[in-house]
Amino acid sequence: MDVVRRLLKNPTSLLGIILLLGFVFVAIAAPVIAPPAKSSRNVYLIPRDGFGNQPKPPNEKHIMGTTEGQYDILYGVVWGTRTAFRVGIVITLITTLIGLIIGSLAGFYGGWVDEVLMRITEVFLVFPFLLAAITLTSVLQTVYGRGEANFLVVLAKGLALLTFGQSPAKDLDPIQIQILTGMLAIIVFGWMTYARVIRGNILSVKEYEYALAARLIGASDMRILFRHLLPNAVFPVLVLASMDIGSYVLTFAALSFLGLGAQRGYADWGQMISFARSWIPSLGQYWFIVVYPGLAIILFVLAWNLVGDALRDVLDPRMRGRGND
Amino acid sequence: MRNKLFVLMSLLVMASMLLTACGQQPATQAAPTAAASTAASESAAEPTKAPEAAAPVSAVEFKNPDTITYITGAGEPETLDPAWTYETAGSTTELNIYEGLTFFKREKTDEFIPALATDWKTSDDGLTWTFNIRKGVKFHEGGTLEPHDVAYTAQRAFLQGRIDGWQWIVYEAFYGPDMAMAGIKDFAAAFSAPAGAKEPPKFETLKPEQLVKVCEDVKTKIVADDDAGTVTYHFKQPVPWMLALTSQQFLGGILDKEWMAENGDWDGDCKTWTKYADPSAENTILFKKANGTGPYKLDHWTPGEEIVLTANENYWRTEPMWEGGPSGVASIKRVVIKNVDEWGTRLSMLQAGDADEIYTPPQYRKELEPFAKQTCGTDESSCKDDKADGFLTYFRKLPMPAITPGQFNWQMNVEGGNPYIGSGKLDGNGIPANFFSDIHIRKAFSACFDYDAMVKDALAGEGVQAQGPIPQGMMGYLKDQAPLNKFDTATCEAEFKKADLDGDGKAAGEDDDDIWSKGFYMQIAYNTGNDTRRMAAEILKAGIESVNPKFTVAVLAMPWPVLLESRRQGKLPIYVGGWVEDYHDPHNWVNPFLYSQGAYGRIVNMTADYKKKYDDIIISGAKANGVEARTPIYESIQKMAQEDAVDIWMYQQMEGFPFQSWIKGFYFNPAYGNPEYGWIYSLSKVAPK
Amino acid sequence: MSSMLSFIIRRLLILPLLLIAVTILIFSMLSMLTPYERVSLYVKDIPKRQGAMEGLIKKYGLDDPVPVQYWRWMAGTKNPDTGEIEGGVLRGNLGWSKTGKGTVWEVIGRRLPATAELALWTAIPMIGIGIYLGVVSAVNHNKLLDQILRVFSIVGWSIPVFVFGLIVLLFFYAKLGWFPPGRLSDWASQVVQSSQFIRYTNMNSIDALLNGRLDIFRDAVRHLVLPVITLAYLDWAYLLRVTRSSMLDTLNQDYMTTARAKGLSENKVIRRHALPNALIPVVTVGALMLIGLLNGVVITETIFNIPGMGSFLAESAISLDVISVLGITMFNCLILLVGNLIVDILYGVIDPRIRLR
Repeated sequence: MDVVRRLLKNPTSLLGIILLLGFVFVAIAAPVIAPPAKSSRNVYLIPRDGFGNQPKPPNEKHIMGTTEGQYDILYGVVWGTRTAFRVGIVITLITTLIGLIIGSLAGFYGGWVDEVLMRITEVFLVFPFLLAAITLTSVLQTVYGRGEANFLVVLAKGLALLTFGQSPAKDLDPIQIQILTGMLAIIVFGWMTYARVIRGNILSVKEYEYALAARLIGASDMRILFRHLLPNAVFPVLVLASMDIGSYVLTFAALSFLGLGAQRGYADWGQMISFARSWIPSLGQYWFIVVYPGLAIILFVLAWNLVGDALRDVLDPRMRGRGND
Repeated sequence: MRNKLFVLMSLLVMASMLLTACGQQPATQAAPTAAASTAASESAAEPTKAPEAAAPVSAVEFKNPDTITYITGAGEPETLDPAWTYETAGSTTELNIYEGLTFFKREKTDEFIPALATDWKTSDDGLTWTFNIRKGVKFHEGGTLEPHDVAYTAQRAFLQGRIDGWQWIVYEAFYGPDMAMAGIKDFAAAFSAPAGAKEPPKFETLKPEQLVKVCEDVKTKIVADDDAGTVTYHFKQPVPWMLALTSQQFLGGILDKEWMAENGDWDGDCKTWTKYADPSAENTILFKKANGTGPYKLDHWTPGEEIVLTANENYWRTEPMWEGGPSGVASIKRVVIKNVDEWGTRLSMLQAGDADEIYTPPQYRKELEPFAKQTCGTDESSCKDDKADGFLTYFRKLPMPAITPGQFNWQMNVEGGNPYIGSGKLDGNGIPANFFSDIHIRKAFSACFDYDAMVKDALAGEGVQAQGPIPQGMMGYLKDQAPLNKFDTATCEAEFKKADLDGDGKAAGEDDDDIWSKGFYMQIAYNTGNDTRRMAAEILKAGIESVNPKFTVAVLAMPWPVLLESRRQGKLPIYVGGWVEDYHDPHNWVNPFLYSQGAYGRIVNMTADYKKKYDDIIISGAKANGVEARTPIYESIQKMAQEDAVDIWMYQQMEGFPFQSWIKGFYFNPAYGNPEYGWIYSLSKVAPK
Repeated sequence: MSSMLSFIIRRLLILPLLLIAVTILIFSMLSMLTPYERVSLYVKDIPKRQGAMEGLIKKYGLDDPVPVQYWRWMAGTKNPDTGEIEGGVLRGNLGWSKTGKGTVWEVIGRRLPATAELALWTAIPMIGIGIYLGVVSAVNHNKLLDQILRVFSIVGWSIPVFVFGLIVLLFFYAKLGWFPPGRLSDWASQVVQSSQFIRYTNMNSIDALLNGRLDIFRDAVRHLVLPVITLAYLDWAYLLRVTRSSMLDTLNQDYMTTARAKGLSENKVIRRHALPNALIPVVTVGALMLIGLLNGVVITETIFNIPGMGSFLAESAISLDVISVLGITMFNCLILLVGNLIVDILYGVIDPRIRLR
């Protein structure tokens, strides 16, 4: 409770918490704020009003205006909040989990286990992230586009279940494929930092008195790992990871820029802002297509960062700065 | 201390950047250092500098008086070898470097003027063409043009015949439609097949003497007579579009035989041609080198950066090409072609005056309207004054021969499952494989596509509804006739109700087991990244879903690899994809779309009776000689294709070119590939007063 | 020193294993595709004639088993006409890049200088400002200045690159005409390509200085301003955070308290004692960021039309150009490992307490 009180006393972290709560509210209240049409097959598809390319300024029907392709901006921003939370949290959970397993095994056992696992980590690290992510996304989109069943499809269905709470009944829904491929690529090439940090933390925590003491009184490996080492080594990683939740929106914006983002018309802030790309030369006229989704992204990233930063400052000062390995 | 140093350094950097920025005319103020100015040849290498302009008249600064800069956005050439090139970025660049025997007369696509030939004649049966070759023409590297160069060029291209190249066009001309193979290896195999053999032998199994025979036979089709100064072509059947072939790379793009051999390419020996057959793009010597006779020489091509051409100072042409046409050395001395993918960047370059013309896809053309000083049609005579403070001469609504249909697949492949047609059954969750064999379904789809929305919204007005396979302005287009299929949901509904998919003889409207009561689900694919086609698919989806809530259509962005593969397998129910012509003749339109072996007709895969009907009439059109004989044939094909609703004849896209208003002399000839830089020779750059 | 030596040797011994593992990873990723899907790299349009795709697959051997293709890439192929062995990574030949239209080495040689120049010019403001503001932020911990700087940096960091880039391009180029995109003006690129101009590094600004051509230098720098601002603005935020937390960490250490107790002024404490220690992790992060920049920055390069590694990388990956992807990764491995090695060694020099492993 002390942590919470200190968080609330600090103006920046308070701001962060308020922002986050605001986003949570928008995400939960999405069906009320921007009710989807009854006939809509997937609520994450932004409704559109015509096919014209030219964005239209805010009006009574579309409070925030429509963006390229006449997609309603308000709807996209509101439902995009859900996407941002879901995608961000799922990616973070899975990557930290992978990092946790590999990092703690390597750090705890040391020796050849450490050697092998760290070399594997290195193999993934030397692959430039963007190259790796783009290649994997292109490969996956090709494989899924084929519509054949294989283990990758099973993987994607699992991910869909985890992210959206439902697995598409028949084949993979073409609407979801593209956001899933992006997520998979980020996960496959995104766990390495966590693994390294956790390993480093465990190595240093291992030397602490309580671990040594536990070992002396004959506690089992697993017990030491779970009861003593992990809690002390994992927390900084979670702080680090929480700050990354916001940034996945930006990664998706980059993927959308390259044409590998979510399916067109999917409520995703990254994609919405990449709609603005061609209209920036006439920004004075079309400010609304940048400002609303842009504001959403900035505030979301800001919120997570402020909270993460504050957590880091507030918690045990020993932890400070360790996040950067 | 260290961080102070950093800050100091970064401040210095910032300061130096700002300083450089403030020099408003940096380009002109080359500050020669002592070392540089002593170099004697300095001035020769130094480019012409922009005049110290007084107060600029227009808002855009006039830059680089002798240079024209094109900013393209659809990619760069694969190679600069005319025999290999089969895409517009390459062939358009080559058109400025290489010449054929003939050339298009200004904006005309069916009238020709002499180029490297002085005149020509055809035999009465239309099978033999003889050209008198111009004397005294020099290649860029110094060689002299002789008839054997012309024949060599055609023979080399023929035998190079890379797979997936354009050579099937000449195979068809010299050996007939049955020999229009995908590449020289397949051609050689088919050529060497013993009479009556069912399967041609494999290319690898051919003996050396068989290979030599292929080459020798080709040489009998294209014969040069150096003494008489002529080249003669012998065809299997009349080729009414012959002069289009000699004007473009197919029988044009004349090379210097001796220079080619010296530089390591084929020397014309029939024993060695296989060494040069079916090369990769980079494996021909003309990949990044060029030696033609045209008004421009290739200065350099740095892939990923730029192509630079310079004027050929020894250009042979002394007489105007046509009345008021260009002659002598090219007026613009230097051509820079750069590819910039980002629209915002291209637009900025145009506004800053660094680009003389930029690639503008239809959805952005409206954005340029405020800058148009003059808005024009197909050439300058049609220009009208627009915004007084504008700086562009904006050529718009230029009818490009490019038609995009929604191609039905009449008989879909369901082997191994077909995810694009759902359950594959008439149960509301899919469509049966022969869905589009039912003419009422095809007509319903054709009536549910909102052609006006397509033209107005997706193409921003830069297009028209297509009438059929043959584009506007071409022989066979039904002038003064509106397209037969119109957007009308009532018709659409009626046609759906007339369909009979379960084959029980009852129309769907009165049949509880048929499409109208059951509904359906299917996917429409377009290739990822193609916005116009995406919108076409979306408009079709909206139309279909509006007539019956049980109809569900998913629009699917398909990565190129999947698209190619699923099309090859014949699994896609509808594919939105267009055709851009090879040569300007209706045969090149009806053949790909409707011929059973055509590029698209293969996949449309009509039922046998329709196949026969269309194949017969297409072949008769190609065999007929003379415009009078051919026109009615193509007109009836155009009519049939609409009545049968073979495809959804969606739209014909139009072009728009924003030139800086100091560029003069542009006219629109769609046969150039990318008309904005197809014949730079006719353009000039005039400083604003 | 001997531990350092054995460390370096160990790293070098592991290198080939690492390279093999990485390339196998890529090959297995691409083996998920069918030959028909992979041949799409060579087919820009729907094939006009039947059999074209099959012919291309045969031509490039795409239907061979994946291990065979891998071996061919490693060891090269024998040319049936000349009997010579062509290509093969083991022989130093990274193959032909379809995307870059040159051998992979050629393309890297052509494109790396553009990126390196950009990275070089970005590093100075990025590192300078990032560290300076980080220190300021830490010293003013939780005061208003600290809060403002942090929010400002996060806002900067969360603006998508292309939005920021296009806006500065629009303003400083299209409106004011100060800083054009590309690498050089046309007149300057003609000079640079002429025989009088010696290209030492292919980095225009540096070559211009070496050739004593200040006009060219000015032109090159003019073209660099906007991409550098864009990149630096996005990245200094990160450095600020690293410096800030590292600095805070150091300021709370016992020896700092000792130093203060000795009666040194706060300013001196920070400069003499805190900063050198706090900068140790910053060096690593800074160096890694620099290496990251060498990989190319796709979006910045696209917007400012810089033909560098980033656009090459993105294009190869999107079009599934196996050879190029492999080549870039191999190359990246090399610079990353060399870079890490240098950082590690530097580390050891700066702070002998750090154990190498």
